[in-house]
Amino acid sequence: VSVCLAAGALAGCLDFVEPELPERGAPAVARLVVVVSDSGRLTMSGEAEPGFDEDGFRRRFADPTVRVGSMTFEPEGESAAGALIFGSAVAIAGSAVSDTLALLPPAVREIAERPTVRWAGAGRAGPDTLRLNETGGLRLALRTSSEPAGSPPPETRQWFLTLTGDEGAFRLSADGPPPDTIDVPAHFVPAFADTLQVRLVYQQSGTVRDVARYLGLFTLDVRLHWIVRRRDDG
Amino acid sequence: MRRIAPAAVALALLALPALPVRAQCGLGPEPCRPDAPTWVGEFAALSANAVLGGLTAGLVSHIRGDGFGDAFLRGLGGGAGVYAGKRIASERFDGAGLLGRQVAAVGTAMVRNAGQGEAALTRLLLPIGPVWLEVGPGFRPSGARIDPFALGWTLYGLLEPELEFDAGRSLSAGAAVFRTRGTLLSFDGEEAHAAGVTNAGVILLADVPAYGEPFMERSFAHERVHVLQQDFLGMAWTDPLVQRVVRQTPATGAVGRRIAFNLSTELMRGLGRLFPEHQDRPWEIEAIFFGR
Repeated sequence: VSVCLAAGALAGCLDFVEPELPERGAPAVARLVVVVSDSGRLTMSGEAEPGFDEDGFRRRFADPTVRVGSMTFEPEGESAAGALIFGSAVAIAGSAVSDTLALLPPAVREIAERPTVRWAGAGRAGPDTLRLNETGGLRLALRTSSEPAGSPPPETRQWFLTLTGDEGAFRLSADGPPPDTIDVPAHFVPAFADTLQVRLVYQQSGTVRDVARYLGLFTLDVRLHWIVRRRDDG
Repeated sequence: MRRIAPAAVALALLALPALPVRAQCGLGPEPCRPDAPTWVGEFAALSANAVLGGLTAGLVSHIRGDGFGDAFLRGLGGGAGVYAGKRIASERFDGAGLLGRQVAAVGTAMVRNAGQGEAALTRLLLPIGPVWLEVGPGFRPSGARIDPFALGWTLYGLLEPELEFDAGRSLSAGAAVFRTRGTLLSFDGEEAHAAGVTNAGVILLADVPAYGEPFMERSFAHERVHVLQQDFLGMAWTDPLVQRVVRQTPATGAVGRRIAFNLSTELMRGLGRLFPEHQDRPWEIEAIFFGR
């Protein structure tokens, strides 16, 4: 808006200029990482920033609690910039890793909705101790929960399998959710004397952008662990 | 000899403020020195205002043919009064602007009276919004004159939808105060976007909530100093000069008795061209010093 006073040489032009407030209207952002392990442990870490409203003021949290399934997590602290810091662990049932997990970040004032995800879990379909089959190979049986209805799948899904023997490790990974069965041929099984450690990490991550003024950046790791013994071991 | 001594004193006093002001708040790219003693800045401001008052009175007296020296010395006292008014007006209490403006107006009147060869408090001009109240001998009200420029800016502030009238601050400042609705101000195309602009004693403040209340209060104090600077320029410089012209004829003289010719904003705009950098302008240095 520019206003020039019409008084000839006495005139002056007055402009009303929007101040440069680069953070004005900045969205709230929640960056949360959940790790569940079939050893019976769930850790949740990350941070949540409330962002700035249209007047350039930092928003405030209406509810600082993060909900993971039926569990709640309170912030461990607050950064100088006003972000909530999370980092805590709880015990869970080992079988819970294959359940669908819903993640809900803190509620921010003036923002009615929260970005949320419901992602499928994965677990062992069988015992945690295995033996090599007749050919010296290994078969891993998995159980994954069905894709939750009404929740888009994560942008990125990958799984990583690591077999650690006495003198080295064999690694295998692929995009997408892990299959129900993973067959590892004998020539990929590292040499071991007593036990072979097998670990599988199923990682899902994605950004939820469909909630106005609130970004959700979520990562869910499911960690499974097997112990493999030789076929001829008692 | 009588005329040389005050001139020498004037030159010496003129040189004095320059050094401490430079030490206090650098004219170059270096930032202000926060550790500079406050008294240095106060002394610089006091001496600059006193010298300006003395020179103004002395020159007017000289033009009138009454000589420079006596008027200069009496003008020094008036200028010191203007300094006192600015010091009060920039303080952070309710009514500081109103009180400081009247104190400075008395100082300005002393300068004006010294230039006219009259006793220090013979005639006073007290600015209340767009009106200059005239107080004659014996402190009796003798009339009122309207400042059309202040009135114009006040009407503009009332009519401009981007501005809203701030009654509380107006009462406190003794001048009309308007504030924007979340925007900064830019006057006459200047690249520096201002937190406040003062035209003919009318204050326009940028009300940007994100900048916080201390920022707003500092801007308000800064602009209150500009109000007093413009009062001085209008009452001691432009009005006497224009009145001298318009009172040559009865018809224009009648107009002159009702109009206050406060061309301070235009004068400052003209002088501002000598200082390409906004913060190099002496009146800005002074307002920054008082308003901080």
